[in-house]
Amino acid sequence: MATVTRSLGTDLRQLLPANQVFDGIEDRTLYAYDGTSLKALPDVIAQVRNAAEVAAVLRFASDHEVPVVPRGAGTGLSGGSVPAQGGIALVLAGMRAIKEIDTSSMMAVVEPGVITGVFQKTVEDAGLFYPPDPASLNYCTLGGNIAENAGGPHGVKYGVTKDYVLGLEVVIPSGDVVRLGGKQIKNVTGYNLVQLFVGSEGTLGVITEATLRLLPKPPAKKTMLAIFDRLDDAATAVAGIMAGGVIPATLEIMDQKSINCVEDYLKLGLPRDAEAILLIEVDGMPAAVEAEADVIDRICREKGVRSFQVAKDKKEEDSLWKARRSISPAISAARPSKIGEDISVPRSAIPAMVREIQRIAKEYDLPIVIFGHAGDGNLHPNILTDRRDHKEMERVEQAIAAIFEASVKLGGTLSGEHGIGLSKQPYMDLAVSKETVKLMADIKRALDPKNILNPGKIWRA
Amino acid sequence: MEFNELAALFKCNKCGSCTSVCPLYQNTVHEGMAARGKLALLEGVADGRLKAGEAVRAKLEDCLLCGACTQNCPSFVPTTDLFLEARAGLAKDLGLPVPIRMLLAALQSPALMNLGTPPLALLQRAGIPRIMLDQLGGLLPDVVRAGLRSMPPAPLRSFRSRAEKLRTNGDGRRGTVGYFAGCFMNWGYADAAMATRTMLTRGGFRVEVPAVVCCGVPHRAYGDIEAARDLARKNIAALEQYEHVVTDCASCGAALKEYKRLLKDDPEYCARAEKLSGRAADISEFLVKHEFPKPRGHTPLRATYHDPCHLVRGQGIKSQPREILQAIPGVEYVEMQGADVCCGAAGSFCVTHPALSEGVGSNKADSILETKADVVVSGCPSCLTQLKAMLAAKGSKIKVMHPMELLSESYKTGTEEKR
Repeated sequence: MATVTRSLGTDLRQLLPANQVFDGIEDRTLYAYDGTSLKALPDVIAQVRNAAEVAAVLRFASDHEVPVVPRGAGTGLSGGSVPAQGGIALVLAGMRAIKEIDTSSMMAVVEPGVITGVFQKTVEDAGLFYPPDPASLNYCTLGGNIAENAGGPHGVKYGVTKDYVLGLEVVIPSGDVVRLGGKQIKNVTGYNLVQLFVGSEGTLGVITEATLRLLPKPPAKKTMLAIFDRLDDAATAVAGIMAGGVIPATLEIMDQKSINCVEDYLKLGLPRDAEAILLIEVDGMPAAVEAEADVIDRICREKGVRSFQVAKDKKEEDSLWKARRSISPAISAARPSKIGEDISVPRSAIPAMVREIQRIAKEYDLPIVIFGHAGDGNLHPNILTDRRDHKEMERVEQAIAAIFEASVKLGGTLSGEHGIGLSKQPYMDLAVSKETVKLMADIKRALDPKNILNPGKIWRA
Repeated sequence: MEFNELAALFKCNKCGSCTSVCPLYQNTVHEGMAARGKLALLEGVADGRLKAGEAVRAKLEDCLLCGACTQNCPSFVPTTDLFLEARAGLAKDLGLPVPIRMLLAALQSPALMNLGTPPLALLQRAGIPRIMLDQLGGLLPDVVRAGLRSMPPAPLRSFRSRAEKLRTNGDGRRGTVGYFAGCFMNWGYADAAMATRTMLTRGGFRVEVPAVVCCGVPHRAYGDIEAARDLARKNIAALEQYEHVVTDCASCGAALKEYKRLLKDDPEYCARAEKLSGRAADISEFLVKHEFPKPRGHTPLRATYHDPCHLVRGQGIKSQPREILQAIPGVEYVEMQGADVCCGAAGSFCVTHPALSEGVGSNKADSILETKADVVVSGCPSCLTQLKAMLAAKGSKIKVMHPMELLSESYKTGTEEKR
């Protein structure tokens, strides 16, 4: 679609300082990928420092019909920031100021390039808490989290990124800068446009500032590890805990394959024949935490837990987390590549879903480890493979399609927290009706009539 | 470019973990600085999308080789090894620039270094580099300016020539140590090297100073592997007779311990290299292992410690230097933020990449200043030089010392502890 006659780099250097524009083939190669290993070369990279620069780039891109792909730290897991149709890679990672932490209203105002983990530490120093905790929190950006509506283990109790975004400054494709929402917890002044942009994967506008809601930092926490012989017992324990009135801060599950994978790697002494491990954390006021831990202990025992451990101190806490945190390196040690998926099913469908995935693993003869967030139904089946083995990769593709089909059949969907981007686009029809896609496309057209912002993502034209 | 490590390259899944620990990425927020970016370029070269030319080499050289990415990679990609191998491949294909070839050749010739150091020391004592920086600062090219700033304080007499004049070598009741006098220590930090020697003799060891050559770290970093191997063989021949081999330079120590990998395919030397690498020790590691005599004087100082990359990641030495500082009565030890983050010196990197180096160094100086310490200690001459320059640039009077200088001082000048 690009109608460019001279070099884009030359044009952009008229708009931005020359040291913020890169177009050598080496630099383009550096901005071709994200955390999926998908890649497509941008024609030029523009690093921006403020909304005015973003607006100048978008105005230019609209006039010349050049694709613009917003990019934070490029750690996304669905190809959202991969420049599928070339054009301008608009890099916001340099906008990393925490502009304000308002302790009395419990709000923060941030630029999009702030690293999530850095933000969490900063607010914690002020006695506050920002719960969304994607696994990549030490290197992903808040802007990217908002654009993808990222989640994490805290989702079960605290929700996901969308639950914390109250205000946004967005540059829309026309180059206009709009300010939406603000520090108000209640706000029904017109459409809820803030939420339209959350999870829009960079297709509707470019986020240049966000106002985020914060919570008081919970003073106490308790970590527990429950090992179950049978997957179904673990699942009924999860349901029982919720029904018993406790919503844990995190409730993670590991299946038998991930237990064995970690055991191969670290020899922690985990029981290889156990079908599931639950890692449970409760947080809040000290007395409440004690009471909740007692409920969890009782319910796990009622449901036939094989072993139940409670961490007494920080050191024991770390050792209980060790198995869960070691899954990624254990997988890496096992095979050259991994393909991580991100399905989300109703909580009650978890055991059925795990068994479906295990069946698919057998059918396509692929090692698949399953772990994830049992508390909110978001599972991460990880296929261990070798990207260079094209024959095996064909089977991987088929297995992924089968997993999505199974998820939708069980009332689930394609993605809980990674987004659709490019990698899950072929399966959109499974989860979303034609009419729904048309509505999305209509909204996109209204905001971006020339289709310059992250074109070709989420659904297929 | 030949590349033997393709499998390792493809283990990188571009998660971005390396960006969170790369000092250069943190300062520039440019993908090319982080390991995954460099690996993407190498993949491009491997599958023919990119030319293995000067542009790729320039990107690969935007690297401190600090090893933080390797240590933090969840997929265990041996990033530093891959970058070294790629640099070697490119050096073979493209050759090395003349100034680098001259530097590497000079380092291979102790005679030349001996000849050059006294005049340099005289110029420094006359304050010429300082005057040049002050008067011509803005007019000088960046590389020259950085060179002047990063120059080690050359002694009039090298450590070796001073040591040769000494009559006692220690009684040797606990054995004999072959002390590896690295170039930077010998010609730049002779006082600290003397302190190391004193500590070894005080510990009951006889100290000999065999005629060694450069450890080969600079040659390895620039990809001249054959020169590095050649130097390694010479050093093995000079050192293998000693039961203990000790050095006080982080980089030399890391190099000696790496000889076994460097020469693993050399049938004549692989076993000898293995043996030497096993015996080599950093002075802090050696003193702690052999329970050095504790100083009794009182040295009232607030001290902090900077981890050299080649000690903390290169050799896994983290606790020993701290233990030594804490053993000095009167020293109040305070840990700085990010003590194990690279200071930006990285050998000649501070001269070839002054802006990047100063950015990282300035952050390090801030971490040191925050501790309100009187002295910052580090067991690497390259770090010492950088820390001095970076602290001076901020107008700080904090002293910068090798741990052996502080330790050895504490026996001499400390007043007796009164109880």
